[in-house]
Amino acid sequence: MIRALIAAFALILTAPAFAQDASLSDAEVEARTEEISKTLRCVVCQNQSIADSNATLAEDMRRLVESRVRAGESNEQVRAFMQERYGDFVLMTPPLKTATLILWFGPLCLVLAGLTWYILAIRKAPSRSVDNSDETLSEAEQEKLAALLDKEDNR
Amino acid sequence: MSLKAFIPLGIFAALVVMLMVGLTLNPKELPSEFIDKPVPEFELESLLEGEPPVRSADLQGDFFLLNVFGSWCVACLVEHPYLMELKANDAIHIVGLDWRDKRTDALDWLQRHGNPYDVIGFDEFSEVAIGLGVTGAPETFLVDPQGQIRYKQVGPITPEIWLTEFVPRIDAIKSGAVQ
Repeated sequence: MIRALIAAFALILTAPAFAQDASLSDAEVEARTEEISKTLRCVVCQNQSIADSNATLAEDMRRLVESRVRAGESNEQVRAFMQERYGDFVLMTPPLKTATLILWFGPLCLVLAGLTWYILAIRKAPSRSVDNSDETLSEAEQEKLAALLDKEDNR
Repeated sequence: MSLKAFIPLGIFAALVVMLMVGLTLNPKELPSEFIDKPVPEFELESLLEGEPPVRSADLQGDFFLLNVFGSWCVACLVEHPYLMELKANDAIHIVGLDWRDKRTDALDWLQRHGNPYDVIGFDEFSEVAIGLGVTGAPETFLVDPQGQIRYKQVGPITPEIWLTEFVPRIDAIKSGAVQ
């Protein structure tokens, strides 16, 4: 009897999930909404994703994402829908194309240029080891050296 | 002095120029994705009860302004008298999109300040606003007789903006100079 009650209760709890689209559970919709929202930029508070933002427009965008996921669209389709309306800007990761080449490869080019410059610079630089073979140590220096070496030996 | 000495100065000058351009751009102003494209399809209940829904298909056969506003929006109140003037002069049809508003507040607002709109769609949850790529209010789209969006104004329409941005575009399309 109790078991039947629990089963009935569970059924009631899960009923809303079946009401919309039998193939997607609420948890799935929620997870995918979250996943998509993280990749979409809030257009009023620019440096946040709509998942992080509390702006009303971001809220409405999340709602729209959720309803499109529920309607059975793929993540890519939902993103494309937003991109069609707000441009590449709405994507947190800008797409790779001619206009964004600098954005994608600029930093890498700068690092490579810096590295090349550095390597060339150390190659061209005159050797720092100056030839001292003619010089001999003075007596005082000899003593100092001996003292130091002694110290080292006694350690 | 060798030319090499000027390299740091050159780099500095390039940085200054880039920053000068970069820092004066307004990142809040996104270009519309819909310029020269048809108005995205929508159907929205009317703000005024008992009136038929507002459809994207209604925006055809003449020039229209599609004006996004809300009773909560201060800048909308700034442009409102000028919209009233355009209406009084029969300059253009104005379709309103009441965005993220409460019905009673919006009706109150129109009662108080006048209604320049032919029809008003009530977009409580940004469904149509997001569909149009709206980021704030007021925003105004200029729609040509073919139902294509030709221009988007972010921020209030002032008499000056009307004369410099809207009128020349309308005239050019009317005269057939621009397809």
